Amino acid sequence: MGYECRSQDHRLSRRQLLGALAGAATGSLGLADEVRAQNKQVLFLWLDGGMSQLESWDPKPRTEFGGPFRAIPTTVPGIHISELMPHTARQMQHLAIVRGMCTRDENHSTGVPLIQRGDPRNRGVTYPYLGAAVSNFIAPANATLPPYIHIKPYGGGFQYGDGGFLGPRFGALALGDGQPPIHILRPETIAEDSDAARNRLRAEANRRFVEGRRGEEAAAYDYSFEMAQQLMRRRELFDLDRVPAAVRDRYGRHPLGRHLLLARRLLEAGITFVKVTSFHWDTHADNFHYHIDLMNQFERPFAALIQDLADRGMLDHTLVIAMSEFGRTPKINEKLGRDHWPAAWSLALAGCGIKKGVVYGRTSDKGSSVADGQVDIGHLFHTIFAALGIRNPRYRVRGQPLPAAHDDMAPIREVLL
Amino acid sequence: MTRLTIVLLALHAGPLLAQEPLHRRIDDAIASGFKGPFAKDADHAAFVRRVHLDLAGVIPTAAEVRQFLNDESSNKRAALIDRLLAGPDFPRRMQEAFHVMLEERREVKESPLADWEDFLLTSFASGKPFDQLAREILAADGKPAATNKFYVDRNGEPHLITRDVARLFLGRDVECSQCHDHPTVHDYKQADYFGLYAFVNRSFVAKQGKVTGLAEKVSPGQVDFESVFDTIKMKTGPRLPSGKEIVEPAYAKGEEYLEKPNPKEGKPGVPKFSSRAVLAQQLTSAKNSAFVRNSANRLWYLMMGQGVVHPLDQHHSDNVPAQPKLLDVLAEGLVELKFDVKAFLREIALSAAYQRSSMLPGKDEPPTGTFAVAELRPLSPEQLLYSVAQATGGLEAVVRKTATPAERAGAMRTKFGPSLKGFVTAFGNRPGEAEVAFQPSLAGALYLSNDRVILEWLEPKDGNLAARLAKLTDDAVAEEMYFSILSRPATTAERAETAAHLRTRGEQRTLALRELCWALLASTEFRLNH
Amino acid sequence: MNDAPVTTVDPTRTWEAKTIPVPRQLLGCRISSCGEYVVAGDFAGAIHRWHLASDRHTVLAAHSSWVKALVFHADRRRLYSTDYAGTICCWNYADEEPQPIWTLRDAHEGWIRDAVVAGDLLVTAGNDARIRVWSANNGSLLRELTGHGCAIFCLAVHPDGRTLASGDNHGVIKRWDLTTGRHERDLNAATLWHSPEATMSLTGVGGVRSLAFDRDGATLVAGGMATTTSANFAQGTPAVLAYDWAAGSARPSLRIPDPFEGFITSLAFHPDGFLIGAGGGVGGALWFWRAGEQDPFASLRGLRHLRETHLHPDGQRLIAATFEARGQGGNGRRGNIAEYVDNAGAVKIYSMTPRPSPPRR
Repeated sequence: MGYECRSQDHRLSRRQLLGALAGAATGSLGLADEVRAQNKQVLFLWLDGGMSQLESWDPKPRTEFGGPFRAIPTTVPGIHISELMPHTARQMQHLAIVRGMCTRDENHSTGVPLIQRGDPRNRGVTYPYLGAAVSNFIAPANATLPPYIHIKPYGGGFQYGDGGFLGPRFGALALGDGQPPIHILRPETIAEDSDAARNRLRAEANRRFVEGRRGEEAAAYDYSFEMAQQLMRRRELFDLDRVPAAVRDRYGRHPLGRHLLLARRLLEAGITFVKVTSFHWDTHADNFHYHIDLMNQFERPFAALIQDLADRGMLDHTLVIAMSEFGRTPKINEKLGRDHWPAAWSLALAGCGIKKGVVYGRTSDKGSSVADGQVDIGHLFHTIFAALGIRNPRYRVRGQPLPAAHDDMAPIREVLL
Repeated sequence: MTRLTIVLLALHAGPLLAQEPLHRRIDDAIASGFKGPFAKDADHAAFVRRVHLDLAGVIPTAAEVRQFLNDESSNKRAALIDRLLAGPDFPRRMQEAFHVMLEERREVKESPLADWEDFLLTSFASGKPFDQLAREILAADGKPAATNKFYVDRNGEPHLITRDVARLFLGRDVECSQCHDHPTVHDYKQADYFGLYAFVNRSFVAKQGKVTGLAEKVSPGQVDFESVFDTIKMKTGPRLPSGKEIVEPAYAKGEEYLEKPNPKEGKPGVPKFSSRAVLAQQLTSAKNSAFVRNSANRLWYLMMGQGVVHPLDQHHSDNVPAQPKLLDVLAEGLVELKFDVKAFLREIALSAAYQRSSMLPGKDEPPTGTFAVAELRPLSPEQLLYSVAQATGGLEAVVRKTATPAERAGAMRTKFGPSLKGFVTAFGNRPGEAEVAFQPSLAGALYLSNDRVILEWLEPKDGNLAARLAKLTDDAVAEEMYFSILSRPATTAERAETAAHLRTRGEQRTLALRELCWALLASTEFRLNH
Repeated sequence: MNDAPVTTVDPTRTWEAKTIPVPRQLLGCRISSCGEYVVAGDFAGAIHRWHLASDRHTVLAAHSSWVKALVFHADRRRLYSTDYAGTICCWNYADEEPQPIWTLRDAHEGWIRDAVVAGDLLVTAGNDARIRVWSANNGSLLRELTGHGCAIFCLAVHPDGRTLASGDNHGVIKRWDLTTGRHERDLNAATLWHSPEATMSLTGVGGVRSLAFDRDGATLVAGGMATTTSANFAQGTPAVLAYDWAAGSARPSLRIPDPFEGFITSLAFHPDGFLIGAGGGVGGALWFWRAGEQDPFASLRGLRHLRETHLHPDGQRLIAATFEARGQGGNGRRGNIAEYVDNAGAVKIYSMTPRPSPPRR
């Protein structure tokens, strides 16, 4: 039954896509340039559909809802995760697990944007996705590459709806299957200075056109050309053939493996916010059989990535987040599946500003509710901003200051350094 | 006067007290729904470009623009509208738009694209009313085979077909109500979903020799369904949303078929009763307000870039349009015009709303959906390709020898087929995705920047734009370039900039012209229908 | 009036004769070849045993992970149980309070999905893609059959007792000689497998869910899922493929003309020659086909999801492990947390002989 609601290509209303406010003056209030100069980065791994917390971060073996899998110890004494994550278990010393997530929305189509925009409780404006928000706050001013890149299966393009009220410029450059678009090579018949000249003329024509008209479309279209230029200059980043075969094997040749490896390269190149999406986690049937394969596809490259970031000294300034829009029901349905469960689920953090080797929050013995340390998406967003050193993040939209996340929630101190 | 005469007069009072023309009713409805400010009228250059794109699917030539601007007759806009509607490009433009709207660029080898395009082209060329077209597509009786496409492209999968029938013909995205009443839209019930499903779940794709067709089984009885949230079992027969279950004739076992299935000969059989045929009749009736409103809304969207109800598949009571009266007027009008597409689009094109400028009336943008200012809408990949060809001078020779819609479409398909594939990849959505919003893509920017074919078109050759410009003085270059590419005169500043750039490049005149032309082709102004 | 029960088997008159509720979900069930005992494995690793005549219920506790594959050994009054941790236990099933006679831990890596008996051999297979042949007496490992490239879902022993059929996740059926361990050929059941690419998923869906030989071993049938519309919801139509076992060639598939969403979970040939197929998906169903016919001559619809069925040795009854809904809460809805309990199971006995008329007063 199509519960997936075509979530990966869900079309928002045009109003939402182009942002609710034309010409909104936005910016980050009172944010020191020093934060930008610190070149902090984010890897946001989105497991779309709802990874099962019971088959990953919060196993409950031998309980009513526990399923057939066991729990295994990790490199941190006292912390156990599912037996389906043996590689990740050996990286636990870098990770912080949050087990008390309790959110509102059990639908994909509304839940995904809700989570990724930080659920700002409908203030009449469209909040930006996390990637746009973070880029807005900390992307270095002199960045030559787009600050927010989204590696995903299927189609690419520019997802300018992610920018929300920040405007289309803050959208995500989506790389379909991690590929740069074709035509990334300029024909030899066009010299570089000619390319520069024609683009200057183009930009001037656009500036004239936009006067007296709505600016969103022109801004987005302009930006697509800017990005084209930037990407053409750095096209070697996408060429995984330059990576030794042994490394590619360690991450795995499957899509998520390749995409996380590409993510590492983009982080190495200084991209501020890299989002990697993996779809099809919505295991309404045969949840346990599927999670054997699913978890292998996720945890092997995830562990490899954590290891590599740690080895390269990048974990100190790179924040890693791995999550879904909700977890899965403790209750097992007739098809041996689990359904949607926003009431009690887990996510993992690592890196910049995050404590190492900890768990925060606890679910009940059976896992059906949060017993301790219950947190909502607002807490998570505040935690992310705090971890990145963004103190008191706010926006100014049409002169009105707005909080960057739910304003009566606070960062989760227990996972912050 | 006898009572009889009075009655007769009353019967005839309808046409005598004729309503205002639809285009005026449209503007009245819009005025009553929004206090303003409204944008002013678009100037003639903006109008001629816009109406060519909307009714012919391509920008006008420089000559056509000049002729229109120089024409001093007071009704030149109406005359142009009529000329374009009667012209050989209109059917192709509609065929392109409706292929994208209904099939979302699906290409399935069992259902040849060319046959489908011909079917749509012929339908629009012959003035087939829209309800009849919809009926033929939904009934899919295989005459011609291309009418099967809606089903065959979806592999006969009944859930997918249910969702797309609801979305595209009734304006309701009911996907989430397959499993339970829709979580956020109160009007979309699971029972309605399965009522529609029961119409189409007997149809299946069957290969009959080399031809892939659509067959139908006899009734399997009512459809069972239950919500995932409770285990209450429910049943329904075929039923339109807010309609009644249809009455199906009961046949004795063995008597249900007109033509019994014969698996050995690959014959799937033809049942006496076709629920699909009933769906086609009932759904496309003028009395089915969901169908009428959805059709009117989508045709409006084709011309305006924004539905009265938007998104186009979100008709429900919580999604109140900014101009509710407008949709009532459009729906009434469509029925009055008996679903005549040309007549309906003509009325829209004649309205002040359509002819509004895209220049904002003040510093604040009017709210979306008020139609107080013209939308900025992306050219479709087809419009963009043909317009680039037109602008660079490569289209005229191709279409000059063609007269009928079929000849025109055929010649363009032949000449530009490979380029069209490239444009669709760079500027269109993936197959199966609705092409509704403007999504400027990196792929598009790279395509325009680096594609060799486009760059070739900018090289002087055979009297094309580049060749013509090479022979002109600096000042004349700007004029010819702006008329050809942006379909309007150049401003003083633009003439100055053009001349300055030509001077900078000096002897490298070809290079300079290439840079200037490319800049305009890659500009937002060219990319959009404004 | 003669009130003697009619014992002619007539599947068109199949009815549910008995339901035994179980508080945990069940994965499978079997009946002993003496017809006295029914066993079913549950999510807690408990093996429920019922003595049919007395209704006595006993729990055989030794496993700690899900128990699916259970198989009886007729001659030795033994029951073999397997679980998803790879453990095998052997029991004297008719003991008053059975205890394992022997236990093999790590008999497989990961889930054991099926177990069959052939003479003195116990054969098991599962996620580690290896078929292991054990002594049914003492559990010593005799042989390992490798070749499958992915999880093995089911096994079937040919009536000759020497040949084995195995079916896997990707629609490959292998034929083995049990006496030599030789792999003899492959049969193609690829239409039962729907790849990740074909289903827009990361895992794909399908596989050979059940295998059964007819009484003389001329025909092998394989059950699973045909066309699918969603891997994550395991949505599709049930499929039964058929093969000429000797020639190794495909025969026309059987058909299920009425719409049903789900898999074929069990297949079994009746001594009278007809085939019984059980369906599990959205609810459950039973279908009955006569030899040589593609369409079922009888079916029972609107049942609970059947996880496994097994034919009673008397040929008159079918035992089934079913899913039973319980408690509140569904997709994302929690309801009252105190009432949030897992779903449950049941063992049902379907009778294929006509229901006796109520006794006259």
